Amino acid sequence: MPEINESLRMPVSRGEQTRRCGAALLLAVLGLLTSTTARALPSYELTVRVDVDQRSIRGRARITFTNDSASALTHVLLWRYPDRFAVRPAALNDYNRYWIYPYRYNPASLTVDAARVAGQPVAVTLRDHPQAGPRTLLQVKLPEALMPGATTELDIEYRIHLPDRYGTFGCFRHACILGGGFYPMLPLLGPAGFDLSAPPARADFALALTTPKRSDVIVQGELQTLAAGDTRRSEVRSARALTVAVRRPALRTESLTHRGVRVLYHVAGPRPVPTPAGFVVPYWPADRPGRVLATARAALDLLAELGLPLPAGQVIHLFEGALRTEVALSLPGAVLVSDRIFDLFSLGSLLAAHDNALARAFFNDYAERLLAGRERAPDEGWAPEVAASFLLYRYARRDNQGSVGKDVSKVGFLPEADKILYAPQVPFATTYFYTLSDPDPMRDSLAQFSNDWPRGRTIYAKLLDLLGDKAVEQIVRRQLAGTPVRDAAEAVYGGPLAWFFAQWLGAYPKVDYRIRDLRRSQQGSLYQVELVVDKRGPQQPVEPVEVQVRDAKGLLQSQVWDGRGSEHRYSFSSAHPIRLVLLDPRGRLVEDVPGSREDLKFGERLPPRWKALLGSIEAAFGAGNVNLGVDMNLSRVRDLRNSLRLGVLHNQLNTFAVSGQYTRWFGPKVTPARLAWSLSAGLQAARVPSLGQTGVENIPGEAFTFSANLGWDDRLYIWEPVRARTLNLGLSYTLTILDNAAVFSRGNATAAWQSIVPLADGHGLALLLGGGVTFGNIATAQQLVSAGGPAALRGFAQSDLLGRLSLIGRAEYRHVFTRALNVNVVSSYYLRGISGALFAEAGFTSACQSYAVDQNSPAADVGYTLNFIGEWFGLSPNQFGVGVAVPLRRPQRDCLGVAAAPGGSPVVLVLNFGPPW
Amino acid sequence: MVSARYQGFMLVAMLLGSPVRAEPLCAGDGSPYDWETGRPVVGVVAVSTLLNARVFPYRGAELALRRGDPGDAGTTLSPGTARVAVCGRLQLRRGELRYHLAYAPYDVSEAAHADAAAYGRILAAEVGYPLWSWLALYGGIRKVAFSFGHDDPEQALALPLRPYLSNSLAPDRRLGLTIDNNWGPARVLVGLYEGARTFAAYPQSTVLMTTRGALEPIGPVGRSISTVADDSYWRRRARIAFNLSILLDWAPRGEVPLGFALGGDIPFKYGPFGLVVEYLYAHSAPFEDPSMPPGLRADRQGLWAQAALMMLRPYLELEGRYEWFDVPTDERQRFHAMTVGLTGYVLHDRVKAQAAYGRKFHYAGLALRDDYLLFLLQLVD
Repeated sequence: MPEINESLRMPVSRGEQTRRCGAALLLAVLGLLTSTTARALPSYELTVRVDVDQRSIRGRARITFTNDSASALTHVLLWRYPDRFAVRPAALNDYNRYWIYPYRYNPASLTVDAARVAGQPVAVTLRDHPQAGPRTLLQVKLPEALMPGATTELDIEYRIHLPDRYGTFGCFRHACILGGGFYPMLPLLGPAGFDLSAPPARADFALALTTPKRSDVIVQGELQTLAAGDTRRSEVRSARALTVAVRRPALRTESLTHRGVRVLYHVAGPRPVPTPAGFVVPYWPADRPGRVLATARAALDLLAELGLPLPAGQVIHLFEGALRTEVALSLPGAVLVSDRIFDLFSLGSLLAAHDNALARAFFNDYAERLLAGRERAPDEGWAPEVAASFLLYRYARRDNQGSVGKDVSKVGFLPEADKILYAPQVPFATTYFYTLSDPDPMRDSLAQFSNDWPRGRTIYAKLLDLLGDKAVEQIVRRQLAGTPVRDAAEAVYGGPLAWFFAQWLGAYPKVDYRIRDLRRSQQGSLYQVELVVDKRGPQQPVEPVEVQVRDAKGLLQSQVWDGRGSEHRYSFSSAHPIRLVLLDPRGRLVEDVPGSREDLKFGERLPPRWKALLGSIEAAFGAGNVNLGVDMNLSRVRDLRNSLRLGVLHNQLNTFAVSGQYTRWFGPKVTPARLAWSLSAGLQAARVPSLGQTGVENIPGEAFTFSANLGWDDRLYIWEPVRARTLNLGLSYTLTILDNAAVFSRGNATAAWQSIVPLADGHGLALLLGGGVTFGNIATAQQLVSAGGPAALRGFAQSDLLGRLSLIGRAEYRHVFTRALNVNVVSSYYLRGISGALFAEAGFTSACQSYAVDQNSPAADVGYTLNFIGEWFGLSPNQFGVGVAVPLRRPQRDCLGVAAAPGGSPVVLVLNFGPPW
Repeated sequence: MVSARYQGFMLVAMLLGSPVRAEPLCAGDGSPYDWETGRPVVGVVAVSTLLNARVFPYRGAELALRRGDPGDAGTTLSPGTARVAVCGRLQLRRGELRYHLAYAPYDVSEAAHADAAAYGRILAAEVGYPLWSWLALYGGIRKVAFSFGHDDPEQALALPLRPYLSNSLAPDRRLGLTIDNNWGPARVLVGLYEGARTFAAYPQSTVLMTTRGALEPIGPVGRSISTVADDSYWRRRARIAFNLSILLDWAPRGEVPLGFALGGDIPFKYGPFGLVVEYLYAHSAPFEDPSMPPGLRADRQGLWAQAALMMLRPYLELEGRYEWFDVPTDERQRFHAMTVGLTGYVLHDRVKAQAAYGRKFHYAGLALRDDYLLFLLQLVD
């Protein structure tokens, strides 16, 4: 179990000296005892100066270790963990980039100034590691071979540049969190040499940390405020790593003592105010620390109920930090709690999800305390989380906490809710929507950065599927009593499980399960269903596969295939017709195959369910025009290939329009819920207004449009796309019947191409080129195309730029002022950032009677919009933009009775609700 | 035979025995639920009364109730208002039924209206049902939520008179349906009402749609700017609210244009100090005060700011208000005004003695003498 001693370089009292002497004596005795019972751990003597404002560390590390391998070492490897962050991660994408980096990607680095072995200068070289990244290993050549059992001492002088980065390695707003890795780390040295896939070696640490300014310093969870230039000394024994946080003084400690265990939560920010019971949302600042401590209390209660209490007198340390991808993380010696925990709408299931995530970290910390040094060293990265996941499962089922998925499903008709359900692009998504694979795309933790192993929760889930709840409880109890988890699992299973751990300790297998040969029959009074489930994919794991059927009376039957082989035949019979067949009814299978172009879960429910959701809501205003549109998509749940859209629309050229459109999707998968290509065919019926003052222009009528569209859209995240290419080609035929029975027909062809090009993080250029042409029997303004309006030249009304042919070009420079805001408006709206867009638009419109061009054809405007990037309820993205457009060249057009207002407003207000174009 | 001394003793005992709370009684424009905490403040039935009287030691020669002023030039002593109310909560098998009945047999401002009813005025006759803890539906006659100056409960008024602007624009008591969406720090009241002020005018009524949104993100501010009833915990913290008022007045028949009024107000409280600033703009909106004949509409706008400072808690409070009011079509209603006052509280706000001096500075100059010095005594229980 890690132990920690603290001292400051300042005068101490006689009593304090006596106490320290006693502590040192005790430490020495403990050291003597442990040295007789276990092999010596590596030790680090670290002297570091952390400058939060400069985001830099200057340090000296003396690493003493024994060659525990079976052969002589000619060189030593050390992890350069900061260089893990020296290369832009491939997993950084359009929607998660601001959950990792508050401003922009910026690299970290570790530079070695000098290296000595036993006082003798030595050469060092840098090495790449396939998982950890380029130059993440420092190879130190030993002056002479280190024989097995021999000990040596390395001295490294180094500098680290820390990134502006959320999470466990980086700084944000004068606070740096270092979950280990701020010193060269010795990889695990086993009998076969250095094990580079295992977490760094457990070690003893002696730290002397200095800060140039008055700072709050947390070491292994213990908080102390240092004056400028003071040094904090800490000794930590048998720890996986050192957890250090340094920040400008702002922390206070909220505490709780429960069942003899003391929980300390170091938290920044204003003290909370009380909110009367029954309020839907709390006053700001809400009592989030109180909720954190309540979770700790409930977790301690559960441990006691299970007969696994923490010994009285233990201290659990939690501290608050800028963490955006997880709600809480267990670090060596302390739990890091996100500064946004419980900072969202007070929906029971959302709060419960945060509560569970914190409990998970809490149990992980508990398991690490108990298992320190007892697990096999290579398993220390994931084994404690097996026990923690079991405890979390028990914790979550203590009361019916609801589920975010179910709650979001209640508003599943909203497009954003649908996206959250099927392709979540929201912070803490893994917290709200637990997936068995428990992915961490960044894989930056010390347990995962150098391997492709899953977290312990996945191993727990697979043990649960294989052995059942009671057996897993036995395994966990044995594990917590000191038996390594592999041994405990094999003992309970009653046989070797090497195949199991080999299968799941690695990248999650790519597999797809398919129902085929579904046959229904009736024999006598029994209704029968037979089906075969195929297992496909490059890596086919052995795992239980359940199929469930439900008959007309609602009776359920299940059969489980043990997963051996590549296919299995299921046969069900029932006294009533079987209405529903479900593959994997409890959601235990994770399916993914590289290059798949569909949702692999589609087809696992027969018959499939249907869903109706609002496809998009358009509300755009500009130049006195109002564009309003709502459409609804009908499709089968998880069917990415077919959809039906029904819509209504109002704009200057359509008083009211209803439309229906079938779309076939194809091509590569852009998000888990969308393919890139689409081909649509549709019909629109519209009441068209009179736009002119005289003649047929003054007569409204009806218009019927048949259309076909081909589109490509590869935007990963529609709210803040970093890069995108879209193409839209459309062809339509419109029959217009005016109220005086005059009939006109016309054809329309449109084309639009759009590209968003990233210039740098937070800066991008959006380009659009589009146009339309109308042909046929053109007699009224309603039949024309326009280069004006909110979707074209924003400084003009649609009626200002009517013509038979129009071309528009848009260029917009988009830039982000900040994306690190957290303005809470009564827990219902959270302002996360502000961006701006400087745009220039030009259009070219032909005459209305012909395709001729003249001096009234060109039009142009420029403008600027300010966009407020936010989240409804702390979950659902949204954007609101307000700006102005200034027409630079305003043609005076008179088009089939529709004349542009003379002069016109020099500045046009532009508002936009919804994603950017 | 009961002596006068005994009656006085009984009154004081009754007032002392009453619970101290922030929510005014139903006769004082309170409700069965506390505005700030959402907790119920009455049981099955609660009866309350409110009485006040006005004395004008000094009044300008052209002071006139009919012009929206607090009194008439020729009146030294006048009753202010007399109210009686019954409200409560009846438990049902599912949920509860809330009711609020209030009647004012006399009100000096109401009596000044040309269309005032002889029998006085029904202030509330409403029932409500909560669908959820945070959403309730109400139907009947109620005080319409619109504008801070108007929503300030009568019982808790820091100055004896409401702003001219609010009196002119805010529909007071109306028959209709109200949705009260109360999330605590955020509250939205949406109502659909008869536009007519009196029963007699219902045949010519318009349709009123009002929305009042109140956002109190960092602590309760409440409907009154006086801090006399503020909770001691919250007094130590600065609180601010952002409120919005919207009114649409639509005439289904005839050529009356759509009237609307928009307003926003920001109240702020800290310790003994309360401050509120409100701006209102109206287009083609009817006059709610007696200054114009019924049915007349006009554009107008204005702004007022009022401060209250508790000098000796909980007995003495100093208040001041500045107003700008502009009805372009009526020279008499284009002015800046200042009002200062002092309020003495006995038994919190159950017995209240107020003194106020008010003066208008008309665009037209100083010729008009409609300033006044007013004493008001109010009893509520």
